[in-house]
Amino acid sequence: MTSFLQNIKSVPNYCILVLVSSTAILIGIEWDISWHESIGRDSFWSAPHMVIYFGGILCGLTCAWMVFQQTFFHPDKYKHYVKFWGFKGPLACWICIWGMIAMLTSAPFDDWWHNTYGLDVQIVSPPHIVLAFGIFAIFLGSLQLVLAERNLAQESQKKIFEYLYLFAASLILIQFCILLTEYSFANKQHSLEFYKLSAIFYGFVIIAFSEASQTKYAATIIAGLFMIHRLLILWILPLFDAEPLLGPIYREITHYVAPPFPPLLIIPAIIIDIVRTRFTLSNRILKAIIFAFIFTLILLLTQWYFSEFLLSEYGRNWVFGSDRNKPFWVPIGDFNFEFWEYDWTPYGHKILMTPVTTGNILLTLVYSSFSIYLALFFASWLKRVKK
Amino acid sequence: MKKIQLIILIYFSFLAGDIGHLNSIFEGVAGEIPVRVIVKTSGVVPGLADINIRVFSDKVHQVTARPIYWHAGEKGAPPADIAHPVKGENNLYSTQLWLMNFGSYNVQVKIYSGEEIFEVNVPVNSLALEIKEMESSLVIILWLFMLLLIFGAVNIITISYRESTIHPDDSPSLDRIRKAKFVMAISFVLVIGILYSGYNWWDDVEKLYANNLFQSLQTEVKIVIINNQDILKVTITDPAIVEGRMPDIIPDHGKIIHMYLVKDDLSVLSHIHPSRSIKNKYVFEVLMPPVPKGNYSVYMDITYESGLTETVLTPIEYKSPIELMEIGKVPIRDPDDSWTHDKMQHKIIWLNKKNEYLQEEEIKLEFQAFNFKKVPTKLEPYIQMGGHGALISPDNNVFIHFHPIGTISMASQQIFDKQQELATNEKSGICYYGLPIDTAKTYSEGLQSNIGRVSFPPLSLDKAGDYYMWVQVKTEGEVVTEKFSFTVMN
Repeated sequence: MTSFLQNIKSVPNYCILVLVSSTAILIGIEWDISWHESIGRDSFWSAPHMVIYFGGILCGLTCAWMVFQQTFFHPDKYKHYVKFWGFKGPLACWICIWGMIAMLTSAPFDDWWHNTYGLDVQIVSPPHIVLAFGIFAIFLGSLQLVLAERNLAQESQKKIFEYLYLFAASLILIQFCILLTEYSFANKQHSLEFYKLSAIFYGFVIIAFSEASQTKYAATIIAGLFMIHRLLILWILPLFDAEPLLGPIYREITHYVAPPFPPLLIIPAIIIDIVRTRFTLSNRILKAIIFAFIFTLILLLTQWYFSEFLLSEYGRNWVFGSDRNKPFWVPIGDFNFEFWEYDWTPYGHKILMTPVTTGNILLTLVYSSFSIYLALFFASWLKRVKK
Repeated sequence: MKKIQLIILIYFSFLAGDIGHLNSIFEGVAGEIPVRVIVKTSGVVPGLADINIRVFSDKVHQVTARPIYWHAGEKGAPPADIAHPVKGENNLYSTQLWLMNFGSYNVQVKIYSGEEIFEVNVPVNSLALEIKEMESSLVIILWLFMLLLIFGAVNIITISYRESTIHPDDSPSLDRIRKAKFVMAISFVLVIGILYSGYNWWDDVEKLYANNLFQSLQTEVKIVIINNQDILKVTITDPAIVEGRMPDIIPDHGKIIHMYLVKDDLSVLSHIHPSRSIKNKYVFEVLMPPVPKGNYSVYMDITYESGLTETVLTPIEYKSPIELMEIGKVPIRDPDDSWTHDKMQHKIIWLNKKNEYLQEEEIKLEFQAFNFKKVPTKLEPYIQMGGHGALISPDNNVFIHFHPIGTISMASQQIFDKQQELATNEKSGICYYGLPIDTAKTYSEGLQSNIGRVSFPPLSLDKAGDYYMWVQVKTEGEVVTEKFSFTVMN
């Protein structure tokens, strides 16, 4: 315990600060989404926005401070710096600063978007994707800052940076989960879209960051941290009072709306960790194909039946939250707890959802294999990163 | 080509409520308190509407406004917003409300005076009407940010490849530096590819949004001959109505359709009222007024059962001889049909007229009717109103049909009054909402100096140009139609 505490003390403040920033941004976004679903009306100064700004500003100031220190005052402050347009600083700082600029860009773009196409009620829109790129860059920069420290640290200190790294990786997984929310409702889990996007994106994140880890059960830990975080959000948010301030209101909302129960990514993650510890797979292509098969098929088997459970009466309680995760604008009806054959665009157009067939799943496996191949490639870089 | 399509789309998409005018205006009484409510919608959905409430009383201590969607009713409405007093103004309150859905909304205004609460419902259309252009200053800002992000991303990827994996004490090899340039080129292509995908996505969203812009009711308007009489015939061909996917149309202050027939040179105006055909509920017919042949614009004001209103604009050629002959019954001329002619026995004077106004300036509309001896004459109700007005821009981009109660449809208001179980103000007759300083008094029974006077809530226009306005009142049995013109300056 004493050595663990000593190891924590050896972690530079900037690593802690960027991870606190990333966590604040993530919690701010989750709160903001729930705010939109429960209260509806917000302002520039709403509480969740303030949490996001706090995270963004803290990260920006930390990285700017590091760059100014290195460039103008202490040229030997951080060994692992790179030159960027005449300035010096760790590469991770530049990634974070890039993320900050992307977040800043998204603000006027999003404002114009609302004034032109109306206030959006969907997560995935072009200005939100600019914001998501920015946030992703901040998360990735934070992760890389920790990773470079781990890769350069003495053996005795590597462990603490490894833990921080796994935590940072779980934040990225959570961000992807938030981005995929609209494709991941339990009602959509008998259609291909959920499995295709999950296999491509979750597969990439879990494999890339677990491969770059030095921990035996890295995928399990990343997915586990992800599950714990999302479950805490699912259970904590509905404890607070909320009242819709926009209409029409089609259901009684008295508390914050919970996010959907997270996909059980921990199950394919455990299987992947078991396979990885039992077998040595040196061929990157073969490894990608095997991991893609495991991840996609296990996820399909798990979520196919788990979504049925979530939509059943057994899912309608505080643990699984199926009865408290619908926004105020969703009318009450049987369709709330049925699988959907159609989806609707924000502008009211009906879209037929793709059925899950053998052919479609095989095609998904191809996409997933490619995604995981890129993840392995990315992981090989992460393992070696030192700046 | 895309731009031309967009312009056409925007042009036709304005055909809602009034044309080219996003304000819904109501002037009347909330219980005992005279009020004027102006709701300015944003033209996008969901969009923020500006609500301005002027109360003509000093005994008011609070005003609230609440958006009630027609389909959800009061049960599905959010709590009311408090409208705050506007600094420097007397008895003017203001707030903003989000209108989240497409269709008809009721802006419920509550006025708190002493222990009493007075209420009035103001119907408002919530429609997506246009795609706004991005301001050039924002375009420049976003371009600068985008370039910074593009070159920043390319540089980060290049540096990542070139030196992120080498030990801080080492320098990249020449071979690595050379290959880094190749990585730079590849990453640039990649970033541009991502941006291009984003651009296409944005384009798709815009097309979807454009498809969702309010589409005017599809109608066929033609002039046919029945029994040697010229009949204007309107057929609703819109599948949404014909197939029952949209609510039917309902009468507004006693007429199923209020139609203005305006000659393209603006020399002639007719205010006529087609009636529904007995044979076909989607056909409406009216006897043509005695107007000269030529090209006309037909403006039809329609109210739906949902409370939504729209103005349908259709051009028509009234030519001679008319080739379309039909067999049937000639519709009876509506006694309230009227048109311009040069034998008027009375004249209307615009009391506070200016020849030029600024954009957004309040255009005060107070009129008085006189006989040929220049003596004011007592007004009579004309189609349940103290007066009627039509304001038109020569390019047909602006059309506003207004009454002393404002621009709202009385039928829509009655729908919401019924929904809210609020007793509709049954007080009919002439101009019971008259001049602002004397609102809610009946002018015909008022002071001698008020004889023949009618006032409408002020309008404001945000587009510069020439405007023409026809005002109609009824006095001594004659419907008087007077034309006015003015200019709105930049």
